[in-house]
Amino acid sequence: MKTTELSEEAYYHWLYQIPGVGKITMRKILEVTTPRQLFEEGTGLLENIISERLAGEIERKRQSINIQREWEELQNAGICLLYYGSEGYPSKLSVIPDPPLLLYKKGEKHLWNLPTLAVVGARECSAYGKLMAKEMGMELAKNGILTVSGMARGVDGICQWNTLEAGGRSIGVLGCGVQVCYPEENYPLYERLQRQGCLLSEYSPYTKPAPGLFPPRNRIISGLADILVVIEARRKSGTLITVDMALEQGKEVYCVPGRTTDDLSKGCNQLIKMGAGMILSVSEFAEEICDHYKTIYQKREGEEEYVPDKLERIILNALDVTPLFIEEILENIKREKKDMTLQQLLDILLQLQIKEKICQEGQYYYKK
Amino acid sequence: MFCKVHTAGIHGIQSFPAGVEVDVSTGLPGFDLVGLLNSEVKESRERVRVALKNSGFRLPPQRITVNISPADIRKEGSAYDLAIALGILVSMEQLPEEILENTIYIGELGLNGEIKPVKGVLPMMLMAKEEGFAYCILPEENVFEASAVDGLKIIGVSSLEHLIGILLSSDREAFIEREKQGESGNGFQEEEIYDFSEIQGQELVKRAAVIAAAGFHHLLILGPPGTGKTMTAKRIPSILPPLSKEESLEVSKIYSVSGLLKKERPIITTRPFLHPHHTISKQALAGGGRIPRPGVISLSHKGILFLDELPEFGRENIEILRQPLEDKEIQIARSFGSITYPADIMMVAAMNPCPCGFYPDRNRCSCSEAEIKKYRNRISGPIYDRMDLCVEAKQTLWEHLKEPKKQISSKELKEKVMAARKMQEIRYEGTKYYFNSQLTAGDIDGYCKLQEEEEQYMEQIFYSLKLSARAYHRILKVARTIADLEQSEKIERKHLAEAICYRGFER
Repeated sequence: MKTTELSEEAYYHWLYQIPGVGKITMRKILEVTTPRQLFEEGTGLLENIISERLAGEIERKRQSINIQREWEELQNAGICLLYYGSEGYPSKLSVIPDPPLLLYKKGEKHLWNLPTLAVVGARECSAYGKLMAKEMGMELAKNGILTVSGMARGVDGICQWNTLEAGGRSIGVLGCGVQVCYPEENYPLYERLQRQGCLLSEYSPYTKPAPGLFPPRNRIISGLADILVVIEARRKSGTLITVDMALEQGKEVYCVPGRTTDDLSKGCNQLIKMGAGMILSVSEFAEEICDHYKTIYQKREGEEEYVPDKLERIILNALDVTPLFIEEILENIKREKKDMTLQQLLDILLQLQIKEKICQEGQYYYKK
Repeated sequence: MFCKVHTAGIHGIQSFPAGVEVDVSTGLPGFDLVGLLNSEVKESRERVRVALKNSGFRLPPQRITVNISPADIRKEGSAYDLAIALGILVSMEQLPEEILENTIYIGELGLNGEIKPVKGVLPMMLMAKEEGFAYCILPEENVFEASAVDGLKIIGVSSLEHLIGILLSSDREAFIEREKQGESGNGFQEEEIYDFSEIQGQELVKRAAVIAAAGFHHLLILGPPGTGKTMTAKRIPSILPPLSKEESLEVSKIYSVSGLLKKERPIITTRPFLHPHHTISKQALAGGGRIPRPGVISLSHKGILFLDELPEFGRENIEILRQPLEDKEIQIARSFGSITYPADIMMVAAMNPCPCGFYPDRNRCSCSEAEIKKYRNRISGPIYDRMDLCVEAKQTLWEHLKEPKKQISSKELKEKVMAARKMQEIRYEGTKYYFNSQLTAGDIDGYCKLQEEEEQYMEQIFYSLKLSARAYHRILKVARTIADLEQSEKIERKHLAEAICYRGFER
C-alpha cells in the first residue's frame, strides 16, 4: 500500500470514521500519538487509554480500510478537513473553550479573518422576524461583513440567503454532515453557500441530523463570530444556548427588540434587560460595525429611492410589519379620518405589491 | 300466444323504452326470464307468480318465456314486475290484447298483488312523452311525481285487482288522475331557515359569498375555528338565483332515479345544498356501487356541494372532484359499460389556514412553515386552481358580539344577485352559458373584453404576480361577475383589483 505521500488529514479522517471514536476518545488518543503514527505502528501505544474492544476495532480498520481511496473520495466531493493545530484551522476557534478537534469544510477558503457576525433566531419566526432577518442579511453584506449562522429554517436561513442575494458571503455551520442538506427546503441555500462562502461541520460528511448534534454546533457559530446578533427568540429557546456560548467565549451580544406582547420577542427583550446591546436600526447598526472594522461599503447599482404618493402613504401608514387583515386596514384608514372604498384600497394595495413594498398572504397584507 | 308490453328502463339518469315480450305455449311447464337481467329483475319471476295466484289467476302448466328487450342493455330495478304480469295475463288470454296499445306499464308487485312505488318515474315519463305514448299506468304513490310531466294520461293503481278492474271497464278515461295535475311543480317554495342577517361582521366573507352566488363560482373559505365559515356557507342557498325550468327538470331527474323525490314535492325548485361529512366514501361522493347510483356530487347538480374541513376529506376523495369540476359531469365505468351523471356544481369549501387554525397570528400559532405546507398540501394544486374565490374569515370582534348591529339580510343580498343574474341572462341569451363561471377559455376573451388601459394593467400584474393562464382566466371571470353586480357592462380596473384580491394563496 502506498501511503507515504498521504497528508496527516487523511489519517485524521480515517480515525474519525471508526465507530466508537468520538470527541473524547479522539482527544485521549491525540494526547499520546498522532493518527498517522497510530495507523503505521498500531495500537500498542494506547494500552490503558482506550478499551480493548475499541483497540481491536481500530486494528481491524487498519487492515480493512483503504485509506487512500477514502481520502480521494473526500477530495473529489470538494471537502477539506481542518484539524486543531493545522494550518487552515480558524484561529478564532482555537481560543474558545472546547474547540472542535476537526472540521469538515466545503466551499471557499480564506474566510476566517474577515469581520464576522453571527445572526441567529427562531425557526418559526413571525413576519417581523423575517423582515429583520432579511434586512440584517442585506445590510451586513452591503457593508462587507461576513455572516455566520446555522442554515436553519426561519431567521438563520433568511438572513444567510439575503446576505448571498446582496452579494455578500456567509458561513453555514451544520448540525449534520456537510454532504447532508437539512432542512431539505433550504437546498438552494445549501448549494449557494458552497459557492459564496462555505459549509462547516465537525461531524463526518454523511452524518444525519439528530437532536443532540445541534447544541454543540452553536459554540462554533458563536466562536467564528466577533459579535452575536439575536433576532426573535422565545424565552426558552435553542437560540439562547448560542447566546450562553457566546458570552462564555467573551463575545458581544446584540438583540433586536420587539413588542412586549409578542412571545417571539420575549427572549430578546429579556437579553436586552440583562445588558445585551439593542439594535434600533439595522442599517445604522451595520454601518457602525462597518466603521469599527474598516470594511468597504459596497453600494449596489440600480437602487432608487422610493417615494410613495399620497394615497400610498396613507395605506403604508395603516399597514404594519405583522400581517393585517384587509378589514383591519380599512378600519385603520377610517380612524385617520380618510375615506376609501374596499375596491380603491385593493387597487392601491396591488400597486404596492407590484412595487414590492408589501406582501399579500390570503387577505392579509404586511410591509416588506 | 305471444304479446308485447311496453315499459321503461333506467340507464344512468336517462330512461329508455323497453319491451316485455311474453310467450305462453305448450311444452315442459316452466317460467324463464331472459334479457341481460340483474338479480332483482330475475327475482321478479317469483313475485309475479305469487302475486298472480293471490289475485285469483292460476298459472297454466305451460311453458312461459319472457324476454325484456333491448337485450343488450342491462336491466335493473323492480319496475318491470307489472309489465311481466300483464304480459302473462294477455298471453293466457285472460285480458284482451288491446289494453297494451299505446300504453306504458310501470310498477313493482308485492306477493299479495299490491303495486308498490318505483324509482326514476320522472325520466320514464319524459321518455314516454317523447316516444308518444298516450297512457301511463303506474303505482299510485308515483302519480304525483309523474304528473310533473304534462301531456300524458296518467292512471295510478294500487293493486293488480284494482288495475284489472280499470282495464276491463268500458271507460278508461274516467280513471285518469286529473285532480292532481296542475298543482305539481309550481308553488312549492321551501322556507329558508338561515339568513345572512344573523352573521355579525365578516363583511369580506359575505361579499365573496355574494360574488360566488351571482356568478356560480367555486368558493374556498379559510379561517380560524369559530369564525363563521360554516355559518356563511349554509346561508349561501338563501341568496342563490332559483332554478330555471330546464334546470329544475334535470335536477329532479337525478333525484327521481335515486328515489329521493319527496312525495309531496315531485319537482325540485330550489338549488340543492349538500354537505357530506368528511368520512364519506369515494363511491358515495362520486356515485357508483355495483348498481350505479348518483353520488353526492351529482345530487348537488346545479346547486352547492359544501365540503366543511376540506383537508379532512383525504387527498383521494378530493382528487375525485377534479374531473367533475372540469367537465361538469361524472363518468362511472363498470364492467358492463359506463354511465354518465351530470355534476355541474358550485363547490363551497371551508378549511383552517394551518393545523392549529390561527396562522398568521404568530402569538397563537406555532405551526412551522413545513407543517403549514404539509397541511395545505393535503389538497392538491389542481383543486386550489379551480377555486375561483378564496376568502379568509377573521376572528369575530368583541364589539360585534356585544353590540350586534343590524346586518344586511339575505333578501337584500338576493336582489343584488338577481340583478347580476339578469345581466348574465341577457348577455348569454342563445348560448350554452348560464353563469360567468361556465365560460370556457375560448369565449372569455369575447365576453370579458378589457379596454386598452385595463389590459395594460393586467399585463403588469400578470408578470409581477407570476400568474398562470388559468389564474388569469379565473380573475377575468370573477371580475366579470363583480362588474355585473355593479350593473357595469365594462370591466373596470377596480373590478379587476377586487378579483385579484380573492385569487387565493400562492403555492
